[in-house]
Amino acid sequence: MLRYTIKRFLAMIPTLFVIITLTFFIIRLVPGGPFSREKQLPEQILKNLEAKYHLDEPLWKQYFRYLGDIIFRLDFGPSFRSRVFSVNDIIARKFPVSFQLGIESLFVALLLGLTFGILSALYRNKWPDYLFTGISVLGISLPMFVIASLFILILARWLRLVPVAGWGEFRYHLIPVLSLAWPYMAYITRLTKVGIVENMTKDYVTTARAKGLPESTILVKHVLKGSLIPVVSFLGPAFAGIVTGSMVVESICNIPGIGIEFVQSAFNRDYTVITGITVVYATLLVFMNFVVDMVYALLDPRIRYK
Amino acid sequence: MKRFLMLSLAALVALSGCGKKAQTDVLRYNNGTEPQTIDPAIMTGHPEFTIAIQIFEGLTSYDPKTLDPIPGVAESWSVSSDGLVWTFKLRPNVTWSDGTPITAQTFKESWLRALDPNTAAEYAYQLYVIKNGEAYNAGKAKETDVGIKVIDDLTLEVTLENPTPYFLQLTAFPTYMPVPMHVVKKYGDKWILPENLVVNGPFKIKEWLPNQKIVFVKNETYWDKDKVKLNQIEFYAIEDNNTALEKYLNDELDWLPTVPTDRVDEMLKHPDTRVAPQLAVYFYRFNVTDPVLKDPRVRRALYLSIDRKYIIDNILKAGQQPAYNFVPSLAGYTPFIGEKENVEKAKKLLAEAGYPNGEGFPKLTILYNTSEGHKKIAEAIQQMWKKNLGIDVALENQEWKVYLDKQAKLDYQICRAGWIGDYPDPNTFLDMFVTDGGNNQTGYSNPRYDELIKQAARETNPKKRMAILRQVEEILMTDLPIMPIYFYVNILMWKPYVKGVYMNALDLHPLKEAYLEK
Repeated sequence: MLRYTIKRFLAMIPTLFVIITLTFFIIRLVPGGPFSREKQLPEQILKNLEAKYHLDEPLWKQYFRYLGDIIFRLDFGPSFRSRVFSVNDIIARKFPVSFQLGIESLFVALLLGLTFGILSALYRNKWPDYLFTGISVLGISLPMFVIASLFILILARWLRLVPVAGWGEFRYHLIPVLSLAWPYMAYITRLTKVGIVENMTKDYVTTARAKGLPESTILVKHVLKGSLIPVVSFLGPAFAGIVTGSMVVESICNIPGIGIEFVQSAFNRDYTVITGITVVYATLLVFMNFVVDMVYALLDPRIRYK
Repeated sequence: MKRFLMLSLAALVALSGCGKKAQTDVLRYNNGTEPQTIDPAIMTGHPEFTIAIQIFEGLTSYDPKTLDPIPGVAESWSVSSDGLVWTFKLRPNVTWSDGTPITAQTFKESWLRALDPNTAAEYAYQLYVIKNGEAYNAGKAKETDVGIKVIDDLTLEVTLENPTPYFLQLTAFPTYMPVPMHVVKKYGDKWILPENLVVNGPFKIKEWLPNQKIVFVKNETYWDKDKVKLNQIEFYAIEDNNTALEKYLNDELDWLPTVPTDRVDEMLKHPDTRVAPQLAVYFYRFNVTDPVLKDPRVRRALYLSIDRKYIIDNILKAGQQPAYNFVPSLAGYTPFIGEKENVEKAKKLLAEAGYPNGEGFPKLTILYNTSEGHKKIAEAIQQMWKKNLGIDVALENQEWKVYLDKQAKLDYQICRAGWIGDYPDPNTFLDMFVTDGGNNQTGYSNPRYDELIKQAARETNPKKRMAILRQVEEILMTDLPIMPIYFYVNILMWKPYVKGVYMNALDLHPLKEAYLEK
């Protein structure tokens, strides 16, 4: 297990190297540069800017400079758009916001999703099942901007419970957390329900029932563990996705997170910001997949012994 | 279960507090986005300019009503008879917010910093009107060659390349604002962080929460502080127009810089909505190197056969003005108005060009950047050309930077464009179509046009200069490398209790004398 863990850890390095390299070159192949403007810059001004950011050097030299900065100094370079904040500054400032929002949302999604999923399975084809299935269908089918706008309308405009948008104390979190959690909650509800329903018909459940175990014990001790495997595999990428920010929710709820920064940096051709955020996202994704594998092994001994 | 729900709701209400907060002494202004910088020498965008005019002051500043230049750090000025040498007299005892005096030397050093190639300021070209400004920016001249001279602590002499009648407008522009060099030298690029920042405007920054808000408070060291009425301003960075509007309607904002396009209709009926002409024009570029579009008859036929009023009344719906010329309405300038719509004449011209009833006309493409508004206009024009001239055009939308790239490389046939003036003068519009001008982007070239632009730059008599610029516009509207469509308007909202602010063509709002009357 230790050897496997180390091997998996080391495998992250070439993966990240490939991602950095691909992002570096692909973004430079896209038409338009960081300094293309509707009002064209005079040639001299453009030269000054390119010299400041080393864009006047051959591409291979830029690449090795960039790679060296990342490897030796963990420095993602200056942002082309922000003249004060470096990419490290931007990530350090914005990632925690998205991370916090993501964690809160994931917690809400898990709490509600598992509850709804279990209730749905237990009351199969009865009204709680219809209600929670309905909620999850809405969560999956409605676009995020509609969900967020609906929450703004209901919670902020009609009920006046919370402010329309912004970030800070708890009252600002309610709308973005609910909006972001909703689709994830919907998936978790569905996966939980399907998992439980499937497992309830398995032989080992019949055996447990025959032994006279109470339904609650069967559910908690036996069924739930096996039923949650699909939920766990969903949680790995979901975690990486949710904590790296949602452009839609961050934009609608005016949250200073990394999600909106990533999208804007792509539009602005802010090469260094794009690559920096991609590396953070990729690292998280690779790491979370690794964590999921470990959790799998804990949940299902068969996987451990394979 | 019911009890649980009730308890949850009660807890939620208790934790969240009330969405609406009573604030009577603070102006809450949505500035639309997070500023890229607040260094006036480096900034280029409108949200940044809006911040700069609150916390910095140049030799001149803007009149809030007309945006005419009024005395700022300079209390008076004079200009030589050839229009080349400007002498500014600075107010005595003007200081930075840390008490350091502001002198003529401060301006000299600040301007040289903006021109320094190592600063890489995008708007350094605004200072190219100063003698040897461009050469210094290119590293081809020394500091001492630049036409900025300190006569004494309170006297600054500026020598220009050409007489520049709008020079006083420029001295109010952010690139010309002074920067505290003693702080810049100490902190480098980080001098603008709130903990380091010193300013010389009516307000100073108390708090800066990136991507959230910037809080300004009255600058007690400002020379004209008695006129400053607001104690605090909050500039929000809400990018989503719909969210900002909801916040405004929920009384969480007092000022909205724009109204979402899809709600213009509804908001125009709102009493807080204000509309004013903007110093900006929406137009289509023709690639005159294209085999079909190089024929001026074709271009004129296309120009004559669109119904601008239809576009304004049915698509834009906010009182924009149809454009038959290129320069928006400006004091002191009589524009050259081009021909109005004339479908019969358009058909005739197209027939003369070899395409009677549009027969044999190759399928052209209109390029635009992805946006619902541009798409609707392009579709309307596509229909009009089909109906009026019998020709088919295709539409192509591209992401912003790809569109800019194609436009700059002349990799298009017809493409949409917009142009916003930096200062209220026809030159900011007309000098773009000189041969090989960076912003020309049509392939157009007319030696007479180029000559007149140069002549206008040399002309010292303002009236004669305007007459020359009118001739330039006449050539433009005769050759038609572009097709003006409409002049923009600013649509914004502010609460009725916000006083001392005015609509203007540059949409710049100095808040020095603004106040709240609640």
